[in-house]
Amino acid sequence: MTGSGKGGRVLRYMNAEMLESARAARGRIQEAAREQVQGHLAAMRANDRPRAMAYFDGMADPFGKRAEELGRFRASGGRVVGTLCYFAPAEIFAAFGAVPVRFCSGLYEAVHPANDLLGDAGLCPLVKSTLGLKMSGASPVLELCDLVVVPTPCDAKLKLGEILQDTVEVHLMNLPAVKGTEEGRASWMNEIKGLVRRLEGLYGVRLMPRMLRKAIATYQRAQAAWRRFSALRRKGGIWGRDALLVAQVSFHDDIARWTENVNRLCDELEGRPPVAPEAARIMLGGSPVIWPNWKVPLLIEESGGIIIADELCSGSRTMYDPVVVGEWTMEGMLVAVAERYLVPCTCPSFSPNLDREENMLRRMREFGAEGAVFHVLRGCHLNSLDATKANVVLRRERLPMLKVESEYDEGDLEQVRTRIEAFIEMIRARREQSG
Amino acid sequence: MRRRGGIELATRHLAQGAGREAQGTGKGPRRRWKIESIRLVTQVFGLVLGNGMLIGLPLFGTSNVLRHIYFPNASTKFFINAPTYATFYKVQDTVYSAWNSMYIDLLLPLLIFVVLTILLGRAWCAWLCPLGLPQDLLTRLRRRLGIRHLEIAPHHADLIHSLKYLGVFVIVFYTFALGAPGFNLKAMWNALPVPYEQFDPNRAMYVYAQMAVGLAPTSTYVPTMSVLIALLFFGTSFAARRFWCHICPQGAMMAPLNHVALVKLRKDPGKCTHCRICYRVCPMEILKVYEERRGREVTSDKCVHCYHCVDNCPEDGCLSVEFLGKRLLGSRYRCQCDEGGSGV
Repeated sequence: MTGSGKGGRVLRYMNAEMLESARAARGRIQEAAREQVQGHLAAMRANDRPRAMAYFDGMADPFGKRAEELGRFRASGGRVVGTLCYFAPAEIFAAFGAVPVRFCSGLYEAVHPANDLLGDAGLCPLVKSTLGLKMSGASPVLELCDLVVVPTPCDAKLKLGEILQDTVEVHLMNLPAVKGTEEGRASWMNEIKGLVRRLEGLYGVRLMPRMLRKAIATYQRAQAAWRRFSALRRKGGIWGRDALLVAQVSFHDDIARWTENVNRLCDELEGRPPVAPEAARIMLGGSPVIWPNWKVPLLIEESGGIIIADELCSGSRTMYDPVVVGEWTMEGMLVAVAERYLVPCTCPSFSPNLDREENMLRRMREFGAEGAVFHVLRGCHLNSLDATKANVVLRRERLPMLKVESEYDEGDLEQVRTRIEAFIEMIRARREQSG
Repeated sequence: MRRRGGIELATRHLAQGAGREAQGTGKGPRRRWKIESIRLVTQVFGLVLGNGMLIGLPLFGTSNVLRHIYFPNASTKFFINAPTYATFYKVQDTVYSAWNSMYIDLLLPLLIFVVLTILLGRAWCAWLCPLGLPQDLLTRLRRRLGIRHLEIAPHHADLIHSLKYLGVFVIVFYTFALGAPGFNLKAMWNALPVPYEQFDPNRAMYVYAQMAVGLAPTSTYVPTMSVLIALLFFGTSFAARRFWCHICPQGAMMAPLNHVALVKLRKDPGKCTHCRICYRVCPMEILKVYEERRGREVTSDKCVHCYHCVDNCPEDGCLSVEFLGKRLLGSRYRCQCDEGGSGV
């Protein structure tokens, strides 16, 4: 209780000096982000890629064009809600006319302010970076959110939601760790209803079926476009790093416009030959790979591989599962949305998590992947443990897997590169052996 | 590699597709018809002609051949001169009256019943039963009114399902006791000979309809119990999806044969994402289709073959309907937004 922060909030965990020094780092964080984004984009543009990617490049800078757009939108009375995880149901926010923006952060520079506060160097860099982003005020969009919705899949996000309350209005959503039971499902359904009540209170609007129906239809179109894109990815006409960027632009973009551009990209992909027909077909799984933390995707694709499929919550999972409404009643729509986010999700926070192993196998077979790279962010114990299980299951099916533990900084770049290169070399050798 | 052909076909279709809406689905030509719509047409057709109720009556009612066919569905002899009767009616009718002839009369009808059920399983329930259509129409009405269905938890559904076996047992045992000499129940022969005739909601529902259109004399007797059960039927089927099918004694006779029926609901577990949509849309609250992780056979004794699950499964080829190993229908992803989003 060391005083009041922004908007008259009580600072419980942060103190004024800490925030002061974090804010001093704002310019540095923004500068580093811009540099990183432009650097990666330049690397990605160096190779053959679809022209329609230009749109997604333009939207890639988290503090760029889209941030300005959202700023104007907010100034003219628009509603913006921040989310911190896959599980925050976009359809519900859209039903209230709010633009959901997912703030999982991939900026290395933003980790430092959070490190000073938390004093836990082993914690997940994604969570630290997001906290640092808020402390420093570097993200203009995060500053104009009415509310930040934080589901609690893991320890790090659970605590992030708690600490963030110093600086912004937070709504925590209790995510059940056991999703397969009626009890787990019912508790998640209650969380969804609680979120609706919170938003109704916040905006002074009652959620009507027709509002939700319209929002669901908008996202169903986005999901349909993504499925179309996924199927086309199989032909190898696009690099995995580009595909991941497309998925992540949906984190903050206007969803109807995003859908339109994904469909445009699909139109172009239909006639395109594979970008790298000889490359080793890799499936990328594990901890979220968040733009612009593009270390692992770039290393894989610079080392003679191509990410043909992924099972990342920051990639395919974002839009793959459709909301299928059984009954278009209010309750029926809410159940459909609630289950869409909970039941098919293969987040390692669930136990048991057979769905993940099966999903990895299914995807690898469907996309003809020759090996899997399992990315584990340092401090992400859940993914680390799932990697061990996945390795056993994939080995049984004679599919090689490489577990790559990594941080946000560039310190481990060469070490990771060596391992990935060796892995891809091994896949190539296997390919030659089997003729 | 095995699916490349399909995808290429899809892309050609999409290239020709005019609207952006049609492009949205992304995986090949859309199935023009929802199974749901085909089923509705069949149900109406079955009600009007197949069960000889309204229009069919004057045409078939006098045929001596047709009236000795006993169908697995259509629960009673509730129509005056109806061309077809239900097996369940024949069972009761014979068991109470044919003790002396060792129930020989029952052999042929039961054989026809078994053969038909082995051919089509409980498909009768969702596609032809005269009680199926009213239940589906009530569901449509409820959805129009924006009222959510009463959810029956899986463990409760199991309990309710066992009631129907108890019902069959009690009814058959009662008719047996009527006819068997040791029970001395001759007094009931006139009072309550074929018990289900008295309870069957079909009777109240359709005899009144027949009276209204002049197919039955207005003096036709309708048992009070049947009227009460019909009211219960309307109430429960409005609240819960296909509630009657959970407790129907005629369904109970077919259920044990549903596994061995030649019509099979199949699942390719390798394509399943366990999204639980199949369970959510299942009117019979069957968990098996969702839960199965290894086997391909997912026809359960509760399944009435309505194929809501196949209609709504978002994974191409994950669920399918097979007859004698030949694939009749398969699940295919399509965007609900392309259907106008009504879902009704």
